[in-house]
Order: sequence, then C-alpha cells, then structure tokens
Amino acid sequence: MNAKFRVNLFANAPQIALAVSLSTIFASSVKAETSQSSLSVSGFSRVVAGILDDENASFEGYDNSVSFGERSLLGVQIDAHLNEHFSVTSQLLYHSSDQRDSGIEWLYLTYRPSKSVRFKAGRMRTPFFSYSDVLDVGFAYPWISPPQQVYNAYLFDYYDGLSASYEIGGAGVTMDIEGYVGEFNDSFFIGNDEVNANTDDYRGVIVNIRGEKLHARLSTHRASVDVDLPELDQFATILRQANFPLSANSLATTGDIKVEQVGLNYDDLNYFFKTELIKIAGSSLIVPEISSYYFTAGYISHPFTFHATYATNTSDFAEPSNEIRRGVIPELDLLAENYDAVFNSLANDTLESLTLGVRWDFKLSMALKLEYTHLKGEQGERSFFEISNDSAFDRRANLVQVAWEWVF
Amino acid sequence: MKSLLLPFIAGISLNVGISTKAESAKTAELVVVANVQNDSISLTKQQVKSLFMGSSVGFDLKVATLPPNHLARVTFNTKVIGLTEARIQSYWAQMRFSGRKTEPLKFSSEAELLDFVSANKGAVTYLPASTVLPENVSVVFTL
Repeated sequence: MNAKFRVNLFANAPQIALAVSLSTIFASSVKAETSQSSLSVSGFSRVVAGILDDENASFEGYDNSVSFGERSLLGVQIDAHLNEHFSVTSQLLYHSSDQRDSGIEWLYLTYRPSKSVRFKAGRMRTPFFSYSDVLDVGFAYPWISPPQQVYNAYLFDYYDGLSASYEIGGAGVTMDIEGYVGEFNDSFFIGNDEVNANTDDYRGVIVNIRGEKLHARLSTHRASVDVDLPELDQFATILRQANFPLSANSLATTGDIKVEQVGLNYDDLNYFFKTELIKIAGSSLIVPEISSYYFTAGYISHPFTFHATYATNTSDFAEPSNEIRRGVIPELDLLAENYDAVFNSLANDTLESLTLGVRWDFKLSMALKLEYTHLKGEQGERSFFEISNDSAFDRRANLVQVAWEWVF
Repeated sequence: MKSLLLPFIAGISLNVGISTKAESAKTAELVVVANVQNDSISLTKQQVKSLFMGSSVGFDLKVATLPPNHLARVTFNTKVIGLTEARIQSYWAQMRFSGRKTEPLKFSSEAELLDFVSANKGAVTYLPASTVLPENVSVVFTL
C-alpha cells in the first residue's frame, strides 16, 4: 500500500476555526432570555480521517492516502423560542466533502399546541431511516460511517414542507406517529453520480413504539420524481416515433419511488442490538429495486463501546425490453445497440460489509472512535466504489477510519 | 514509629468511612416526586422512563434533573433509564439536532431541585427517599 499523507480538509481551516470559536462563545454566553422568548445556540462537529487499502478504487471518497476531507464538518443550531408554543430553528452546516453543500441545512418553525402534538413547517431533513436526520451528528450513533447499504441509498436529504406528530404515552409503551408532505427540487446522488431532480407529492409516515428496552420504528415514504436527463428523454422520443412504445417507456425518467423501513433496537445497560431493513422500489429507469439490512451488536464497558455490524444489500434494475428485433435492417440494429448501451451503463451497487469499531466517550460531550470495515462487492458491479482500474480491482477492500466527535 | 503509623491508620479509617458512606448512598432508595394537586397520580416505571427521555405520558408534567455524575442521577440512569450517561447524552444529541425533543432542565444540587419543584406546578424530579418533602410535592413512583 503506497500511503501518502494528504490533508485536503482544512484548505478552509481559518473559517472552521472562526466558526468553532464563535460557536463556543455563543454556547457559553448567548442565552439571551426574556420572560417570553429565548435564544440558544448549540452545535456539533466531527473530524474524520480515513484510508482505503486499495489503489484501484475509492470508497465514499476514501482512497489509499489518508484523507480528512470526506466526512469532517461543523454544524451550528440556533433555536429561537418565541413563546411557550412557537419556536424557530435553523441549522447551518459547514461540510468538507465535495459531494455536500455547505449552508442552511434546516430552517423551520415549530408550533406545539400541547406536549403531545407538534407541527413543523419549513426546510427539514427527511426522516427516512432511524439516523437519516442526524447523519451529520456522529455523536448520536456508535459508528463513524453508518452502514452504507442503508444510508447511502438513492434518496433526498431534505424536503420543503410540513410535518405533524402526535405522541401517546401508555403505562407500558410510548408511541408516536409522524406524517410529512413536501417537495424537493435539487440535485442528488445516484451512487456517485449527481443528477437534478424535481419531486412533488413527497410524503411519508413514521411510527415509533418504545417499550422498556425495545424500540421499533416503522416508516413508509412516497415521492413522484422527475429526474433531469434530457439525452435519455430524447432517445425515448426517437424510440416512440419508431413505434417501440415498450422500449420508450422502459427509459422513463419520471416515476414514483416507494421506500419502506423497519427498525428494531434493544438497549440494555451493558449491551445493545440494532437492525434496520429497508426496501426501495421505483418505476423509473434509474431507480433500481433495493433491499438492504444491517445488524449491529454492541457491548458497553463504560467509557468504551465495542460494536460489530454486518450489512448487505441487493440491487436490481428493471430488465430491458426485447421489442426491437435484431438482424432485420442495420438502422434497427443500431437502435437496439444504443438501447442496450443505456442498460449496460446502469451501475449496480451490491455490497456486503463487516464493521468492527470502538467508541471512547472520554468526556461528557466528546468521543473518539476507531473503525475498521471490510467491503466485499460483486464482480462486474460498481458496489458503491469509484473504480479507477476496473480489471485490477477485485471489489474487495478494507477501510480504516478514526473520528473525533463533539457536541456543544 | 508511632508517629509514622498514625496518619497511615487515620488514612485507612478515613477511606473506609468514605467508602461506607458512598455505599449507603448508592443503595439509597430514590423516589420520583411531583408538584401535583392530584395525589392519586401514580406512574409506572415505563412512564417514568418515557417522561425523563422527553416523551409525553398524558399528564402535564415538566421534568427537572440533576447534573451528570451526581450520585442520584447515576442511580436513576441505572435503575430506571437503563442506559449509561454517555448513551443518554448521545440520545439527547439525536433528539436536539433532529428537532424532536430537548433535554430537561438541570439543577446543580438536590436542594435547588426541590426548591424548583415546590415552586412550579407540574414539576417532576427524582430525589433520595429520605428527602423531607413540602406539602405540595408528592411521591408518584418509588424505585
């Protein structure tokens, strides 16, 4: 392994340093309060370094040189409590990764008419899975990288819309139900490719049931997605004009996405288990049918948490149509060839992984983490890797990461 | 020799004294108390856990707690919440930064906590069972 040391994060170090010191000052001194309103500033930060032991590919931005720039970030949250029922929350994020935009991540108004009812309106993170809306807050979970098969899915980070939740507390269990509606108009990543998308009619329901040690989370989400791929639309028009409607329809860039999730957590004083199963299905060409799950077991010997995670997924695109007959005339052969080329270009992401990690809560609001992940992809597939030397890459690699997590 | 030994013996007895005191405090019973008019309010262990983890349990109660590492809090975390302090902090980070719940009010001593509870209707907390409670504060759960 030819490991070079590269520091590409803190090209923006002065801004981060300034933001950290400002937020520290804020956290300690700005808690302006009047009898009715108050302002509080809090935040989170992480510095993550990682290296992949393979020179033929990179994974989540990590290659065979140490990099700090893929997951390191700083977030500042400002909560303005206007009165007993209303508050405004904004979360600003500075992210070191090229694949993430820095700026306002959340901005919403909360209305709480009673303790068990909450309405929110504005820009919010989409609560697809258990940790989707706190993926940037590494302090909130045991791993450095939550299982990629679930958390690097084909989805949208946030939505602009409304959410409502209601909580019911019983003698034995507590249950809350949350529903949201909204839209998303931005670019998102399909594996490693960034595409523009418009979604309207974006909606979901999440149910949490908490017992003494068991916590179940069930959720379902729907969206109508229009992905901006003009070349593909043009080719579909040609196919339609040539009277191949099935082939044209199979290249649809507009369609529905359905996401289903089941999560289970068991928490005891000294150990825990977590699992999440997700299923994604779409009616457009670029969204494969995905089934993923992970299982995590953890042991706590305070201040250390030791954990192991197995994760896997299957990912399948729709089959191409056999409508265009080959070997009749050269023009049709060319059309069929181009049609097949579209399907051949769809990169599949199937991956199996085993992660071993330790978290050290050395202070009340700080933790250090060390994590090793063995990645095993499928031959001939992309498997979430960015592959630079296809023939030499056996789709197996080891990722080592260290992280410092902080909340303030 | 005698003068050398004395502080050593005194040190041992002092250590024993401290550990005995700590042991007795560790095993001391805790009670969950609330400033409620209705004396008949009685909570289950699960309701107490939900309440201190930020959930609504149907009564209009406002939770107040002691700071991390306070002995009563450590006992409460172990016996009722069932999580270490580090994991509770992790939970509150998740709740706060996803805009769901905020951490309860914290008071630095049991005396301050009791003052707050007796002065605020609906306030609820945990205290050693030996605490002398004012008239408007009643026990809603015994650990």
